[in-house]
Amino acid sequence: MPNIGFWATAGAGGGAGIPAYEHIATVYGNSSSSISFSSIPSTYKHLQIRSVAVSTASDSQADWFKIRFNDDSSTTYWSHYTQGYNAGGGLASYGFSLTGGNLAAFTNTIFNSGTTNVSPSIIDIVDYASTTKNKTMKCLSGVIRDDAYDRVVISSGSWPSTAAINKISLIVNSGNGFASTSRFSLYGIKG
Amino acid sequence: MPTQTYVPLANLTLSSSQTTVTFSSIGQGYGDLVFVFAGSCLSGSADFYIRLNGDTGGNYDRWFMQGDGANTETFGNAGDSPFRVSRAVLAPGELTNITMNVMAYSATDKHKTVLIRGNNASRSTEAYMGRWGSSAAVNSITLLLGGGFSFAAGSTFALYGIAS
Amino acid sequence: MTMTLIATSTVGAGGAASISFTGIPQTGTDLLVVFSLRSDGTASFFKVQVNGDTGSNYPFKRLTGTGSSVASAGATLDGFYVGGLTNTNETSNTFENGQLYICNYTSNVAKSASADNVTENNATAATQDIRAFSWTGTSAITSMVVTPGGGNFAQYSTASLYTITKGSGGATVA
Repeated sequence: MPNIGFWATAGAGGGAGIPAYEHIATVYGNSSSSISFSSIPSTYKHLQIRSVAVSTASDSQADWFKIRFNDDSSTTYWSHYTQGYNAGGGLASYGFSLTGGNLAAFTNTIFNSGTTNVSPSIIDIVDYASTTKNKTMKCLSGVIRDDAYDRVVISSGSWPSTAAINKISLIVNSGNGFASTSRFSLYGIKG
Repeated sequence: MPTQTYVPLANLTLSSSQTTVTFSSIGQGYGDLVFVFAGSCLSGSADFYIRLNGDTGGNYDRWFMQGDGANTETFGNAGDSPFRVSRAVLAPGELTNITMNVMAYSATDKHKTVLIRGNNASRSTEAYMGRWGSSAAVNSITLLLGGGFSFAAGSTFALYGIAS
Repeated sequence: MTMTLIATSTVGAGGAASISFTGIPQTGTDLLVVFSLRSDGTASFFKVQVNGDTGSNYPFKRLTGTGSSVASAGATLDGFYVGGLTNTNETSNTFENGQLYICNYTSNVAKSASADNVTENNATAATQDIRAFSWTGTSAITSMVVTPGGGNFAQYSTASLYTITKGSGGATVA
């Protein structure tokens, strides 16, 4: 079988030596239960979402948000995560299916410290515009509330569709909203 | 020419051992900061400390998980000072790299959160979530080592801004 | 510019035994490789070797979750073993998502690196993996080869190589 060698010189691959990381859009929370990036151009190789979020839930427990692609709310998505957690369970790993989205990241709620205590996440989606691959995302995130719900999480998810991603929605699981201090920024990475 | 999104702000390679490195007067025109350290220490076994805006108060909380090649662990502290990477520590003859994302660093309506990956192939890999309980914009970052130890010559410190 | 695309390699029909990058420009500070890989067989991991070094010169520590358990391991191996590789035992058309970051790749001292990697699967089992590495070689990195732990990479597997370039000045010491 052939080895794929690549001369990493200018001009090779049709993209060598070019700035690779570009801001596409930023969206802020407005108390609605979802935010979306629409009409995502297909001209990048990978996407990254960098966010800080807090849910308007008054629940004493942490909330979380899921990631949905192309408004696909009916497909079974598979999610996995490994977390270090202050509560029972400690360091553990989980896998499960969800209809209509992958678990992306846990967030704080306004129950704890109001809207100022946000939870960060960095989501990477590789080869998002491929029409031959299912879509795999990974995320590093965490929550600190100084209580049992403190955690750091590496999550991953599969959207079993070979469609190119043109829309991403982030949806609060509890049905509450993203507070106005939440910020979501989408970046394209060339390749 | 497209607007730069991932912008180099500052960097330092130590020509001799030092006890602290500070990035000050950090420009406020970006969304997040990315900090990358690679290096070692001159002596001892040293936690890597990260102080924001010179705050020496107990305003830093953390939660992390790590693997040391045999054991796994998850742990955290509230009211610490400052952020400290305490498993992927620095030691002479060992290489440590630390990447820290300071999210929404220039915002003044929320606490500052960090996502850190700390790595020392001789000791540990860790993923770390931190919160600095201040709504002030971050304008300086000071790096230092626990126990008063010194960074070794050749250690590198780089700071980048991510536009949003 | 800070993050610069150097090259992307995509595996064509029939698969490929490896992906390589050669003649890596020495104008950056750090290297970032972003992977979207799948084995066309049952290989469950992949590795990266730099500068043709196939010796046991790459120590690491890892933390790995499998969807049901968490474990740590460490060793010194013959490459950066980045993490899990999605294969034919897992859902079709599904690829892993990972990255390898190498600090100060042009320096004349040993190198420090890290990796974050996930596989995926329409089932409970999939891996989330973080790793710390070093490479004991003291030459600047000019080439790298990515290989699966057996067999070939499947068609449509990709690896993208970037340099990250630092700024200048702006820090004080004491």
